[in-house]
Amino acid sequence: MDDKLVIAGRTFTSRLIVGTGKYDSDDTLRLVIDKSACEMITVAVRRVDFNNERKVIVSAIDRDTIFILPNTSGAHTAEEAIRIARLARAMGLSNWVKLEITPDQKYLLPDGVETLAATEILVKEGFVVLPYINADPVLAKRLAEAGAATVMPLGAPIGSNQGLRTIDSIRIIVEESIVPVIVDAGIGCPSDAAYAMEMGADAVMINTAIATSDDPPMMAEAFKYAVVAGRNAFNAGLPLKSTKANASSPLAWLIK
Amino acid sequence: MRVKVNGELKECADSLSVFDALKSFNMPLATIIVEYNGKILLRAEWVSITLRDNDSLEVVHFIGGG
Repeated sequence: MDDKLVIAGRTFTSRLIVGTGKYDSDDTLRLVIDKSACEMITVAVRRVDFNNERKVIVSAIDRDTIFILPNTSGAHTAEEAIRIARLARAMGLSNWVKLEITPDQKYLLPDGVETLAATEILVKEGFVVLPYINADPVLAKRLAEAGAATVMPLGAPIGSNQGLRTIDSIRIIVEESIVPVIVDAGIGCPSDAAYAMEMGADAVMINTAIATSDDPPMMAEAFKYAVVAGRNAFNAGLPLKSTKANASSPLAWLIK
Repeated sequence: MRVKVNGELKECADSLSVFDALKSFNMPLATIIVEYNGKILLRAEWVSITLRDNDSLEVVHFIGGG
């Protein structure tokens, strides 16, 4: 069965997107990418720190197999996010951007008003925009109409590992969306990812749950299987629930 | 003269090109993007622009992020 994820004309076999924050070495990150079998990772744009040189992860990534999606993390306003997006595009990898605008530092919840405003401008500038949003079906619709390539509703605050706390709203977004839905943020364990995929989400994005586990490569592999399992279950069609038992063994020809 | 690099004032020789200044600050040239007084530069412009006192450079790159 041909079941690919297509975003803005680009095809992905894997429906697991991996965030690259919180890793202590490029080697671990490479192993995670390998074990997750992901085809898209996110990166952040930051000032070069001359006093304390941090690894540049782009040089550690095989760009033939892995698509790099820059985010606008750290932006508090549309204006800041647009500046970061333009800098990211100038890096020459692509015109894609994961749009993240989080003015509130306690919960890092995305500002929907600024996100819609930035999406409208970035789409006009030719960007492929993947906005990170609260699980708001109306905002998701407005963003898709504004030309967003996907919507990325959160399950719970970034890095919180709380799982799919916004499940009912995500369900509506999945049902109504005309663009792919990537569940992002808060997914704490593979069963959360499987659940999102069973519901019909097009992909999930994971960072903290893998990066902060005791064995990130093993956890990456666990997420790979969870995403495939959830997707296969969705494609197979989940059976109806019943409040009563329905015998699995035939009830005819019983031995009495 | 002094130029502002990523928010810090830095001393550097007069009449340096952006390229020479980046080299003198040990910037990882292959993996950076430079904004000069608020405008993103093409790589070709690094050698053609001569810095002046109080100019501002923002030098960014990709790092791990979610």
